[in-house]
Amino acid sequence: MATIVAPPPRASLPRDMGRDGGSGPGASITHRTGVMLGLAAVSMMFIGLTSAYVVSQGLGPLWKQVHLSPLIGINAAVLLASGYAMERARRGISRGWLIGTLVLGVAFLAGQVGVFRQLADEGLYLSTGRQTSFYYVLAGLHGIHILGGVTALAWAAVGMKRSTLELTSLYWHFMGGLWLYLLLVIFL
Amino acid sequence: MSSHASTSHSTGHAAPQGFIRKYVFSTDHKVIGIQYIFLGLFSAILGTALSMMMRLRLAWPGSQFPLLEHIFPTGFPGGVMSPEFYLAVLTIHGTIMVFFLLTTVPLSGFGNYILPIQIGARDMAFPVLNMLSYWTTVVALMVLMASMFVEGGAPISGWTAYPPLSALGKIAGPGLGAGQTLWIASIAIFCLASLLTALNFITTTLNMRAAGMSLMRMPLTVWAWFTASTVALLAFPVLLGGGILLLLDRLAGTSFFLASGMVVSGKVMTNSGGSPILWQHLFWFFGHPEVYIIILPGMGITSHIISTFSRKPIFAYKAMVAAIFAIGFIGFIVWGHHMFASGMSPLVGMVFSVLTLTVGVPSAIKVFNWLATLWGGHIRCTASMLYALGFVSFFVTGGVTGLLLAQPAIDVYFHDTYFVVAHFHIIMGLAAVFSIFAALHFWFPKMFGRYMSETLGKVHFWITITGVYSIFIPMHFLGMAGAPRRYAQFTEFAYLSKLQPLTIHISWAAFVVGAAQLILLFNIFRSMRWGKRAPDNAWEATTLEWVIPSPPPHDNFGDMEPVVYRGPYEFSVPGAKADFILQTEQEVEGGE
Ligand code: HEM
Ligand SMILES: [Cu+2]
Repeated sequence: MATIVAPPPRASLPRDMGRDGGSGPGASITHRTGVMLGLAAVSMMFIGLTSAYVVSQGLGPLWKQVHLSPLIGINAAVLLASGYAMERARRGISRGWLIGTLVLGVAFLAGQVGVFRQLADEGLYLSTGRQTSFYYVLAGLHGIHILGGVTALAWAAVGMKRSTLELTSLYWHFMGGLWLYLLLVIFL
Repeated sequence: MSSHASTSHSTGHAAPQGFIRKYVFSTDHKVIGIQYIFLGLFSAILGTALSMMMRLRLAWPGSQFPLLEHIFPTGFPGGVMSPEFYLAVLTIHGTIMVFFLLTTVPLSGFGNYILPIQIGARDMAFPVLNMLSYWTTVVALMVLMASMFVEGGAPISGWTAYPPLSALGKIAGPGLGAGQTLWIASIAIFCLASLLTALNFITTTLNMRAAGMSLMRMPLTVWAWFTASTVALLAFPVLLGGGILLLLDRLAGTSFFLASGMVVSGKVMTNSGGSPILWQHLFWFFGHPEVYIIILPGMGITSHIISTFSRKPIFAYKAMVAAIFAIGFIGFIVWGHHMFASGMSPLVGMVFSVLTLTVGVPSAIKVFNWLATLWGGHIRCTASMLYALGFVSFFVTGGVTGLLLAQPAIDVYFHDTYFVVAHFHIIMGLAAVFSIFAALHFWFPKMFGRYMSETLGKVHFWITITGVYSIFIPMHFLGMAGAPRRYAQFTEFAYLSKLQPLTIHISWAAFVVGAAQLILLFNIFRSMRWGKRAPDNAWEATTLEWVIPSPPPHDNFGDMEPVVYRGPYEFSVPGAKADFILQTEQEVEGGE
């Protein structure tokens, strides 16, 4: 018959635990893997869409319509600042910085909506031209992910657990980097 | 001992009480696996019924079917299926089969049930997410079904949904209004569900393995599910992105896939600048990996079963793992072979052609290793083994035609003919379905504690394999003669009218195969209640699922922690007392 012997200590325990600083253990390797894989999937969606953007560029005239406006720059700065706040929040397990991150995140979203308004005022709607369409789609989908991140920040602020903070910061930094990548693709 | 069990596994492993938590919204990977399998069974029945209707139309174009007119008054005006309805049936058939049967059952169904057990885990890494993924898949299926019941009916653009047809809305034809919108929504939801499942499988494989279960001790099934999941995680998001763009073209007036100056149904369209070819790139960047998401689990299942019933270690385990990886990787860089006829530059065509032909190398490695495993084995000719051998057969017959299609000069002729239909039904449809049959007969005793009937299984196998070859081999000839796919009728073409007897033959063979599936259904439901009782290790096999009771308890391993001491396929080890050694066996008292 099969020999099922007495259990050894579980192999994954030491890696998962032991960084306890009063706010619970760090994120488990399992959760970390889960978030990273989720981000890999998100990356693939945006890689697909930006490839479509680059390819579409060559298809016809009347491409460039959206121009870099000051508000787009301000938004990017706000998002970068939120990344800094996130890092302070994670390292110091600080609720203050975390709420700061959240406020900056909401400000970024408001700013993005502002850019949409500016475009509409210029007569550039979702279906006006393909570059405009792509801008709305890319910024919109990114915004939805930021909205998800803001929700996660709020959740993290309630529990203030180290593990949630670690996972949220992973996600948040990624979304910041993603927006910079999108700006580069769109405006370079 | 028991106190240990209760402390180290306190994480939600108490069996849930109550019907709803236990069987409907269950987070148990085994229940979810079976739910996926039943969802697939439902899809298979629906998809097969639709294919029978298409065969009726193709073989007897003018005949009237009053009964069908009764059921589908608009689809069968005067008892004859309208060409538009034919295309709607074709679309739903393809979509259901590709997504809701072939993508879900081998991967999400059997993978869910077996993978955690084979690596010695008590459940998936994220059980709640697992449950949500399943129910999201159900929602996707319901949305797809709904597309049949809206004004205009189901879409007529096929499972590939090429624009401009799919992007224009109801002006372009029946089913292209609300039906097409629902189709895209369904696929988008399906993408989401599938990539969450994939995420779960990968995390589980990486992080939940039992002590001693090193990567190179994992059964090939686990490697295959792991790789297929990785491919799914990276491919589905691209389809999701493309689907969003397509939806916007339909609903918001954008022109991602719509060119300037189109005139549709006498109306000048205002779209400008887009390209339908862009959709082909996005779709096939997903679509080709998708066919490997479908077939990789079948390869794993086949390897596992052939080794078990040859009573021999799988030949060249490491090469098999490498081949799985190579196939998964190369799958991402060959999508252009679906677009040779789209006007791509000959240079690009040649690059895609060469890349595609290289898939033949790892594929051939797998086939040779399966044959080498069989060579000199003490073969046990179970029904499950027969189906696995059927898989190998289809993989060869279907792969050979793939190599022809991979050459642009040949493909420009074969593209969109029945030759392609024959190719992909054999290699994707049949091979994957036979891997499902094999897996079902193999793991049924684990799932239900009873064997399926071997006799019924063998009868079903022989009727099905002869039947499907009589369907699909002639289809190659139709294709060579130039019969185009996605047409409701050939008799109008003078050059094809002589081949009508072949078409009729195919339809009869299809009806026989369709009827033979009742044997399988009967076998499944009969065996659940009255099958021969199976011991825990139903096939004298080696991997972890055979260490635990059949059916397994809620947390799979009960009070004990599995520890793995050896590789997955230790059959006929010289000196061992039996011709198999379980992975959990520590010492083999051999020699004396
Ligand atoms: C040696 C391996 C293979 C090669 C070289 C190959 C090559 C090709 C080529 C060139 C086409 C395009 C034909 C055309 O549309 O004109 C094609 C179509 C197709 N292949 Fe393969 N193939 C291989 C294996 C597979 C496998 C393993 C699967 C699935 C499990 C598969 C599924 C399909 C499907 C579904 C289509 C048709 C899609 C459609 O147009 O609806 N192929 N194959
Ligand atoms: Cu392909």
